[in-house]
Amino acid sequence: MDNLILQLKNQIIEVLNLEDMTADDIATDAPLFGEGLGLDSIDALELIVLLEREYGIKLSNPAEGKQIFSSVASIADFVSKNRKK
Amino acid sequence: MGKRVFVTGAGIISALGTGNDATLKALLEGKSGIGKITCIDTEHTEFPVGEVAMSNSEMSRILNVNYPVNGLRTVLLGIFAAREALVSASLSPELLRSAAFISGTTVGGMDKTERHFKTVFDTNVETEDSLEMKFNDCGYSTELIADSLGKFRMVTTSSTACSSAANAIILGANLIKAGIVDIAVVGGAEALTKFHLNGFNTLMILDKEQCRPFDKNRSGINLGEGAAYLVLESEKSAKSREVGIMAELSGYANTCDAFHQTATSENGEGAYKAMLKAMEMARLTPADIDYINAHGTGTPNNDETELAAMERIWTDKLPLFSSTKSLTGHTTSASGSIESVICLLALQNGFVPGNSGWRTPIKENANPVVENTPLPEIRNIINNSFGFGGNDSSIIFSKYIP
Amino acid sequence: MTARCFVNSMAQVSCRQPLSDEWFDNPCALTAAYTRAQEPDTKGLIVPSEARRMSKILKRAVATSITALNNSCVEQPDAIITGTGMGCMENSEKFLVDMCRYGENCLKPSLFMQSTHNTISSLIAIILKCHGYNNTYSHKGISFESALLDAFVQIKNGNIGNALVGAHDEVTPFMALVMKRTHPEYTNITETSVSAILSSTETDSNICEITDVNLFHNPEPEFLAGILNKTDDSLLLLGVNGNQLNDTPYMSLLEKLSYSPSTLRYKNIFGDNFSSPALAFYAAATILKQQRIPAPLYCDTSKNYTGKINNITILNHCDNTAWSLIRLKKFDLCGS
Repeated sequence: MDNLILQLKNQIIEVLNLEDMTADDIATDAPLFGEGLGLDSIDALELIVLLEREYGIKLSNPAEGKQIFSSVASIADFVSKNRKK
Repeated sequence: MGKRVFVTGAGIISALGTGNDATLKALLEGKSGIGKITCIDTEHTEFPVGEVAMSNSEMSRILNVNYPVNGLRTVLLGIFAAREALVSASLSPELLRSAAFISGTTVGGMDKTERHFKTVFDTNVETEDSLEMKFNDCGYSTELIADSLGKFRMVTTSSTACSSAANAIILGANLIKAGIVDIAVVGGAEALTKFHLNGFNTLMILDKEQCRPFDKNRSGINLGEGAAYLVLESEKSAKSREVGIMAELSGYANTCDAFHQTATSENGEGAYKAMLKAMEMARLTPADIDYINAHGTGTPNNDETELAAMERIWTDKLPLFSSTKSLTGHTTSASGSIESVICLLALQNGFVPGNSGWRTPIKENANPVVENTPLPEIRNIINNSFGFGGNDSSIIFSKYIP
Repeated sequence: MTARCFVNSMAQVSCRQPLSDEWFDNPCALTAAYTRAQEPDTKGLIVPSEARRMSKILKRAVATSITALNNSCVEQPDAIITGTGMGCMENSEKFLVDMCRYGENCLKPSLFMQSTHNTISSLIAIILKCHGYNNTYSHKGISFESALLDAFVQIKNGNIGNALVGAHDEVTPFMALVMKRTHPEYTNITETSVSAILSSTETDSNICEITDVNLFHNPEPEFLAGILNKTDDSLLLLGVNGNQLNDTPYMSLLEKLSYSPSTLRYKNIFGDNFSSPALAFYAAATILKQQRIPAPLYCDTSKNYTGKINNITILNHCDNTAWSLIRLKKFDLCGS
């Protein structure tokens, strides 16, 4: 799980171009949206693409993402249960 | 800004048909042009679109055009509509020599580019395919349309995504008011492409059913394609030619929501300002507006904020409004002129076109006109066109009063 | 059309030192067939958290826009009007490459969202929270002049008091290879980002005045010569670049003139792309302000201009179909 969390943090930094950040800067349980990293609806869509490209998970409704993308921990939990690759 | 600008010609092609007559007939019948996608090679056939029911080769044959026009769908559509506009305004080649041609497009020659890109990118640039990418630039498409009509004095292209054609209309009107030209042929053309079909799909805002603007359960856009042009003319020129005046372009405004590249602000600040400023130019009060042809794309975000903007202006009761995008599809860069021609048809024939597909109210007193409705006393119409980046334009057409 | 239209401030990013007029004192000719722009230092101009989604062209456009605005008499522009021939090419190209690689699934929304031509104008509006008029023109080599015409007309008729007008084009290494084939008339392919604040206010910080902006489609050389002959414009800044295909239309025009102007060039310093006429505009404005002409800008060094520099007429064409004419005039406070 720890490996997956680290991997996810690095992937998030890459796809969202969080240029000046490292994996250590993202707290695993901290909210990603709103107060957290200040991400917006387009970032949520980018995360949907990330899940599909890297883990073979397809979300067809952006509303499903809301719960899943609340923190890195919740993404890791969802990925570990649903990943196809 | 005392000078008046008149509309003396119009041409249109869309999923509703080719020409003013076919479009009027489809509008009066409330017939939607939304159907299965056939003209582009895509796996996303789950998304219905408003296609023009002709292949490139059919259009090329009818228009009698050759390379490179025959491979550029935006140009083919543009020529259909622009030719009709010129005929309806009885514009002679001599008049074009002092006129402007301003077209809105964002796709331009992207259909050609996406067909050749893989070969050029994957193999090498020395192939003939790379030469075809010259047409990617929007300006080439516009020039090819213009040159098929005659010899214009000046030609340019506005490109503000889904408000492109509306902004072409605005520049044309400003040039006439400034006395730079007396006649401007203005509008926009846009073909469906794999590029923007996939682009809109990445935003997850395409509806798998016929779109339902202003419906509580709306879930996105149906893309469409087409072209439409208006002939704008100064009072002096229109009167000296004794040409029929279809309407007065009485007001217009372009503002920016300045909020987000794709989302709209909650209270629809840009849309609110655009409608208000256009009414100010036309010296009209909110009570003077008989009908709004809304941008109404069918996305949850757009329709909610457009409605919010309307409610800020019409605090007691909204005027009659509808979105015709469930009939034509969202023709993106061309939508501003396609819906302008629809407004002109409504004004000339005394009716309000319906918002097909609508079923469930979002809330009380916010229902669009669903079936097309006679309105013989119709005088002033607002046409809204909003683009990515919060590019919001409103245009007002008024019944011509000498 | 009674108001006057002044250039109040300008900023450029090109193959020369960015956000600076350094090139004016050290002009040197380009030699490479393709030269990318020198990236500006965006510290203090762009907030890092906002920069993360910006492609090169967007960073350059914001840098020149904010610099021009900071150096101007205007706080919030009444209008933002942009010319760009190809728009956000890097993002469009990446989206097309992804379509080749991944097919029609797993494509990135931020690339599409920021691939349209008007991304630039609206991004600047979002940063400035500017609700004013916002428009974008994409018409080959006269995209900038189309934007300038729009602003000029609206300032002259009093619609707006000022405008932020820009021209931005990026050329990726792949597109440079394609352009060498599609535009064989380009000698040195480069990139451009120019922003200018235009204003109707007479203030001593004005750089020059714009007295005319015109677009022509397929004009005959006689027609253009007729316009120039009427005015006797003695300094012409032309888009010549040493390539015969590109230069012949300018030569045909010069042959038809009834007088003998001094001719200047700029593409030997700034290169060729759809937005390069904006660099001609910037160079001419700088010359009018500084009242001298760097030697490499003369087409013919034996015809050096010695008088007071009052007017410069800029002529550019693209494909010999789209032509533009801009007239700039020296600015004198309370004069003229």
